[in-house]
Amino acid sequence: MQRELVVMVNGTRHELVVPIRLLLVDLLRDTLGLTGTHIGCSVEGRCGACTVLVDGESMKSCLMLAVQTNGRNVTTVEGLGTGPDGLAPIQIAFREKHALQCGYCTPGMLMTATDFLSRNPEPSEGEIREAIVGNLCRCTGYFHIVEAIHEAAEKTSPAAERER
Amino acid sequence: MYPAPIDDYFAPAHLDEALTLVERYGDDAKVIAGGQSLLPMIKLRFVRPTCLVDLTRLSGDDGEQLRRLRVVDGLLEVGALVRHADLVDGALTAERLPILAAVARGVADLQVRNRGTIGGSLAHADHAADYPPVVLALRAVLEVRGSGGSRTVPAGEFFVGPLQTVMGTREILTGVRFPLPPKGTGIAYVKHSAVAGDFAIANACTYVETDPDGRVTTARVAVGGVLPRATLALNAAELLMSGAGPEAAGQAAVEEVRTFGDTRASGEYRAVLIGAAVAQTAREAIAAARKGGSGHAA
Repeated sequence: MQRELVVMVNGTRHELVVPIRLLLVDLLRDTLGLTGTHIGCSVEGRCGACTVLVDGESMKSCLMLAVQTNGRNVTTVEGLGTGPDGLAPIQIAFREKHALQCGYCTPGMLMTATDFLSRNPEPSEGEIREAIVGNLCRCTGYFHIVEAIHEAAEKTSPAAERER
Repeated sequence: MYPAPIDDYFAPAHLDEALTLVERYGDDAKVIAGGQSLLPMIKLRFVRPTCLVDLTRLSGDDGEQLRRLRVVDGLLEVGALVRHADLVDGALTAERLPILAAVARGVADLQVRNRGTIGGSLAHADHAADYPPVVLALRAVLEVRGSGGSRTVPAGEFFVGPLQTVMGTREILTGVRFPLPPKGTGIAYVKHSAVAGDFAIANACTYVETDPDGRVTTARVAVGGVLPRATLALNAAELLMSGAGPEAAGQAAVEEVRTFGDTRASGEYRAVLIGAAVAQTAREAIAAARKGGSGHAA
């Protein structure tokens, strides 16, 4: 019923014994206290609020068992910011473009956007909209979220880096 | 929502160990890879496996085989553990079978594509999934391993009914082989769904080969989103080979494929979408074939 688990979360190594059926999202929130990762739909993985990075790729932590992350690196929204004020460029862009209202979807949006921009540093608006298909927002109508991801791309793209 | 209790979890390094486990646990075991369909099923108690056999830690030759994406003897070999995202991003799919990349790109969303596998999707056998009409129209062959050895199953014989395949509970899907299309081939796929990335209300894949004069010499039309399983629309294909137009093929598909109503759509609406999907894919596939080369549209 239980298994040993060794997992890196935001750079910290955790050695745990967990129930096999424990979902990654519940490991993060309940066991490790990292409540930045949210639970929206909780069943079919449609809302994307629980999105985290596993070995750098965005995945839904409600659609993974904790034991499946054995030996992997998990990054949550708490581990995203590395800048001087503790925020990543994508977080600064969300703040500046007013890309959230209630904020419930925001952690998942940030994680998906982080993965997406690492693959596609200079995306079109259509590509951005396609990238966040798996993240539901019921407040903003997505306009400001798309703008924020675009802004983050412009600030961090290879072209922007070259100009610096 | 908590998944149903699970007593045992194994993540073997070798396929033989995985086969021994499914042999030992029988119907109580479920093979898991990405788990993007299985975990919701376990949460909802549609299935209650007491043992999970996780294939994602396969290593060595078995790991290589189940993750391979390569061209051998005119076939694109896709290992069962190849993820949708690998098909979207892979240079090989883009170059040799771009329709597969295009289809994979429409599966669910970025996060699910990062974890879900083509083998998992095919073995799960949802009648409204993206791949079934594609493997049917492309005449793909599925590789299945049991403790007695390997066998191959033509796509046309693989799906039995909703969430049912010809595989036994003690067998594991290891890969799928797609014949690479010759010059003068066109392939198109379209999905109609309620929201982007969702399962299909109706989907269709059309494959055509044309002669140098642009006449259709071979045609295969497959539709999905219909019960009990995705199916070839044989009359629609016959019509295309007899020189009839895409609209006639669409109409033929509507007449030969029985539709039904469910929570996604009424039977009448589904029939309209099937007709439209077949007509559209036939039009695009023929246009791509006539452009020469092995063109693809999706």
